[in-house]
Amino acid sequence: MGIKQVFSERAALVSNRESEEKGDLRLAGSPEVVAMRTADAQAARGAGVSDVKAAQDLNPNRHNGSAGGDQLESIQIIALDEGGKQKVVAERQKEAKPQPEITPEYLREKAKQPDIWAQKFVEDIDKAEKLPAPYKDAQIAKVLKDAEAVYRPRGQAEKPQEALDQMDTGTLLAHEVKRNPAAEPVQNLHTWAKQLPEGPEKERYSQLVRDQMAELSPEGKARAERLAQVSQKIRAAGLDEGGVHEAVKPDQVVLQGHAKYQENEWEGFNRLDPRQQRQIIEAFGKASDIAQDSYQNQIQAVAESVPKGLYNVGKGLYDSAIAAGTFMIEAAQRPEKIPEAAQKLTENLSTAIISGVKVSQVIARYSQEVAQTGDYSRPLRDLQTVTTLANERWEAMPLEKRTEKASELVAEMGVGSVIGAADRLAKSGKLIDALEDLAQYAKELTAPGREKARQALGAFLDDVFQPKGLTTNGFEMPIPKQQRDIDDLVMLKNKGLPDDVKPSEKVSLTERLTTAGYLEPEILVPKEVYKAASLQGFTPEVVDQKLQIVAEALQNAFAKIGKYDPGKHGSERAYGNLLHEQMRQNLLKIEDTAIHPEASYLKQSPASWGKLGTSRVDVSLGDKDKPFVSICLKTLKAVPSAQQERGWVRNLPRLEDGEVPPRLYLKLPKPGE
Amino acid sequence: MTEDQKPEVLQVDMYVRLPDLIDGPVKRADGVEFQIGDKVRHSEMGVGKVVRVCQYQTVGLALYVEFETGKEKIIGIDFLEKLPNSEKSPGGGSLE
Repeated sequence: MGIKQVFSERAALVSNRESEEKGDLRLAGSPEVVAMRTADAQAARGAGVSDVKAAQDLNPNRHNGSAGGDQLESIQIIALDEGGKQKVVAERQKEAKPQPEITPEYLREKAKQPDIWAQKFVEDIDKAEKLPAPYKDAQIAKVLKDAEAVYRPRGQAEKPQEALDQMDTGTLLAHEVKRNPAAEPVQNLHTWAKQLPEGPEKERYSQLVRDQMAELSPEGKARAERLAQVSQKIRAAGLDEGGVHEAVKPDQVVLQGHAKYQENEWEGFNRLDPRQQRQIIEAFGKASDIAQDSYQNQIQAVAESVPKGLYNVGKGLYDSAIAAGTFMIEAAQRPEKIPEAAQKLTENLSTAIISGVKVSQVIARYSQEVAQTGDYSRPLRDLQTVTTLANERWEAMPLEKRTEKASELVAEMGVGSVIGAADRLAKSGKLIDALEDLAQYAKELTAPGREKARQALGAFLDDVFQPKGLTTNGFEMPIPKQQRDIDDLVMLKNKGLPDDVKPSEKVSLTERLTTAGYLEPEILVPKEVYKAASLQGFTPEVVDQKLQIVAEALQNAFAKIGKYDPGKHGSERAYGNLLHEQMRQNLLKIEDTAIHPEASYLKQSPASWGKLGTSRVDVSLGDKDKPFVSICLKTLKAVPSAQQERGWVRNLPRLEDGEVPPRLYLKLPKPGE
Repeated sequence: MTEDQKPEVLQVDMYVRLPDLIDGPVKRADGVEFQIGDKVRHSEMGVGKVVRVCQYQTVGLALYVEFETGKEKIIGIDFLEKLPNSEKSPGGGSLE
């Protein structure tokens, strides 16, 4: 059959020669063309799937699946980054199926398959087509947009294949945080885990990060699993097997010497000897009335290798030192000015620490130099005195109190997911050193997050410095506590909340005596609360009764604990915590199934206490999984943080109509108000 | 529902008025004096001990009492009977 076919083809060629041009003749007669017209070539063209597969199986260099996926993914280029992590820098992508255009015809076709979504969309299109012209087009466009959301999940249409598979866990988390703020604590945990020494502990926390990321986002989970698979395969193959080529980029090598200066000018400052460090700081004192350029010139004169960015480091230390000196002078001469001086000191110190300045290291080096030279000059002397004072006060506090304060600080700085951070701070006898360590974790926060962390750190230090001031004579003096302006604590005007969250309304609670003499709180319950309760199946009478129980539990807690007394209760925060706990105990004792003290929620469902990303409300009323109101107790002018408020809106279960349940703040005034 | 019609998330600040807590003894209209640590009796709650003396703007003097049943209540001063401190509760086995 093969011979016969060749003969017939040759005959056809000969018969056509007369009508063909010269060039065509040369082309037609070329060996390639002849080969393509052989019987084998014809057979190959008509080959079935099984024939193709059989031919592929004969290939000794075929894809064995080690790179994951199928033949289309058989090539991956993996490089090690500067941290030794593997990254897939390139790979053959899966052939993306062409996305069909979402049109009415496409939907009609799909509806016949049948597809219930398509059927619904077709129904909507049919209705839309009956509308008058201007509305018709708009309505059809809307239906098509909805259909697009169903058939092309968000982002798929715009980005055929984002290079997310090439990311490491940190980058994946950074990507996730942009979409979902609840991932922020996981990101912090990752940062912490990354700096641990290699070993089982690091691996355990890294796994915890992956697990928590998976809980937050199925998409992130898929990416993390893919990344883990790649890493596992590389480890299994080993570097010696030729599967991985270690590529060193020449430009990275060249840049290594400078990268650290660019990253953190503090590190450059730290390379200087103590004398140079002090000269930089003193430069600010010597030239108080000249411009920044002059400061920089003076700094450059200290050491040519010092980058100009050190202006900020030196200025931060200088400002802190001046504030420290002011604080000490005021403590000796004008006690009434101490609160102001302490506030200024803590503001400068917290700014310096958050920006990465290691005050404690400068002080330690300075102390060594003093011991050697006897040159005991300002301004570092003052800074040394106040840091010693802070350390002493911290150490003098009972461990329980330190633990409480440390936990509060870690939570408010937004680094609550850094496991063990609060414990380390509480147990550290060197407060400033421990705070500097803590500040490292704030580096990866967003700008507003860092500002919030700075404010939290400032408030914390304020608490340490405010109760007593050290005079130059070495006497400790009591200092009245100064309440911060609430506006200072609120960074964003709307705290980043959705626009439909109303500013608080104000209601006063009063009380009366029942016929048996019991004190009974009287509450003017907003009608929206009744409405929310009704949606969840609770009557107004039940609402009144539950709110009365909560208010009574609070009154009893206050009566039991007593008025705020700094000498007895410590900080206002500590007092607030005590009151919260007592109210919780009172409510637990009542065992009312519709009152849930300290209820935690995550992604609009109840969650276990303390779970990462959860929002805890002091009390929720109604069914625990679908409360009709959440209650937050705020003592002594305390205000909820923006993060707390956003968390509630995000995590609280919705009412039956899909709305967020109302939130009631039970506010206790400061004594005398 | 348009954006304008969308219901808002309600937040309400409920200001709790706290009583003045009084350290010293207080005298009732009938001349009976109460102070922290006194033993008192209530017709429904039974016998308890005064833990705090509270002065409310609205209802006047009330006492925060911890009862032997384990319950606590704030009760108007007129609704309590003062017991001699030496009186023992039923079943008490004090070695005094």
